[in-house]
Amino acid sequence: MSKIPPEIITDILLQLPVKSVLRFRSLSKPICSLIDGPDFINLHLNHSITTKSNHSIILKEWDVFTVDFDTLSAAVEVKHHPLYAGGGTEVIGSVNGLVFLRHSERNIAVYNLSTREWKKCYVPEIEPPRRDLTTGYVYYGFGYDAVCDDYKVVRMAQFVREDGGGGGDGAGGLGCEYEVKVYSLKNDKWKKIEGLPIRLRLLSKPFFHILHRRGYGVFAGHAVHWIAPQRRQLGIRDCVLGFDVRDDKFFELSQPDYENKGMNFQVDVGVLEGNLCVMCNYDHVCVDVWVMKEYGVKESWSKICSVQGIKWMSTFMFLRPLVYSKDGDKLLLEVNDEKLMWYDWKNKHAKAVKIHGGPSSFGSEMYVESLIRINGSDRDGWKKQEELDEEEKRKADRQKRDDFLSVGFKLKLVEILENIHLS
Amino acid sequence: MASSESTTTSTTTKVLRLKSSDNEIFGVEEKAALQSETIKSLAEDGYSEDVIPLFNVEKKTLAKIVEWLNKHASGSSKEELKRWDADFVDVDKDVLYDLLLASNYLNIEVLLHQLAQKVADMIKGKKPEEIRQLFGIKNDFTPEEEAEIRRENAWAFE
Repeated sequence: MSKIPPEIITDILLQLPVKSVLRFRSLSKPICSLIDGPDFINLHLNHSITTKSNHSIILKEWDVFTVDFDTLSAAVEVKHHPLYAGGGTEVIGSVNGLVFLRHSERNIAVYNLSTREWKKCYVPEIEPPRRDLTTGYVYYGFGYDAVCDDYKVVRMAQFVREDGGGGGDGAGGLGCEYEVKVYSLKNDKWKKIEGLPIRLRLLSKPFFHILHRRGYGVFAGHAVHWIAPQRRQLGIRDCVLGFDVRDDKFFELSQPDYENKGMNFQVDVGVLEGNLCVMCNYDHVCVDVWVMKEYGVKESWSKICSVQGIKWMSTFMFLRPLVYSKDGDKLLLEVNDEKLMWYDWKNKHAKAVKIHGGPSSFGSEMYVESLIRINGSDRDGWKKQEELDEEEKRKADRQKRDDFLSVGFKLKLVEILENIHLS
Repeated sequence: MASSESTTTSTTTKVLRLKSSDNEIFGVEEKAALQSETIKSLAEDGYSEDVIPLFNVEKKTLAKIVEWLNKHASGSSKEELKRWDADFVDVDKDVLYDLLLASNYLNIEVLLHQLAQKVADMIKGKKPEEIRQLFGIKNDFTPEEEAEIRRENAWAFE
């Protein structure tokens, strides 16, 4: 082929995986600035989303794995992330190609899995409001504020009494106090949220215990969502609690009119191709999946399927929809923390997906590759982050030295005062 | 967008005559031909009664394009079209290149997209040097600049 017009080159580049696009930045200066431009970055992401290309499934266990969506065959461990320490890092959420990683409450980062750009987030102390309280579980959520083009992390720290009382799982108690802070990636700052909703106090511990689920928020629309589970004793129903990442406010979201099948049910929350969904689990034998087609509109809730009667899988402890097949005929489900399966709701037929090399038990999350930048638009962001980390380390060392000096000074002062006192 | 022209012509199966750069004339049903935005605007400009000249497309390429236009106006099922399209773009790179230029010139978005996808699949594993040669791209980086760009995403070159 000889010379190809630039508009065709753009069309071709838009259809390539991120790794190839990054490699082709070195073709020429005009192509490099095309690829680095915000228009191309957004077009590329939109193309991937609408054609369901460049997608993978993140499997979360002790380590982080990804499985290519097109082939759905082999799991590959992600060893290149910035918190990699041979295990123990969790993926808390995935939005527009970015994931939020947690290794410990002190060690969190935002990472673009496909460009490998990252930023470690500065972490403020969790401060219990009273002396008899200590930090309990810490819930996180990761979301995108489309108005300000900003990514946000919500941290909700639960406080429990030091004597073990006041736990959120108490039958009739008022539940726990919380401290909520939200981090803006753009400003690299945390903000404390005041005026917490009363239902937050009942975001309880048992829920947190469900393996790989851990109460991490689900991002859809413009909010991160959690389920504040029902309290039958108190006559309180399940509540979908949202945190709007645009104005940093909590709200309660309307739910569908669940069917009464003469069984108890539990509600859980998920996301399916950008739409919020709820899974209504009837005594572990049947799960109705509802999707909110127009975010925030109660009337737009529609039941997409009722999963039951599968020969080889009769108990559903936990079920979450992940994505529709490309032809739209089937739905990929994560079931019981251990299986992926294609569900054909017309024929009520389910087929297990065999993944090689992955963990035997996992939580999962959809991931779409993107060129979205983390450290602003300049390419030196990566280097700058290294310098910042270095600076941070120097600051910490200086602080330690200062602390040491001030301790020395205080000791000396005490000594002098004692001498005065004695004389 | 129901204009007066479209209401008078839509009931009969009108045939448009397309002329390649090397003067071959192809008769194509209007419904099929209008998938090309370029032909559509030429037809609207009054060429529809006459021959529509396509100066940038040779007959061998136009024959392929006409084949695609007809197939995509034939009401085939989605699955059948998918199979047919996969065969259609399975050609050697020179033909692919001519088709790309022609579909760009004729502004047939669906076809252009399919062809670009085919090229993307073909080149995604290739080295930058191979791509430059393939597309006729001039490398305007200094060796230092190029080394720096490569260093930024060294893993993508592995």
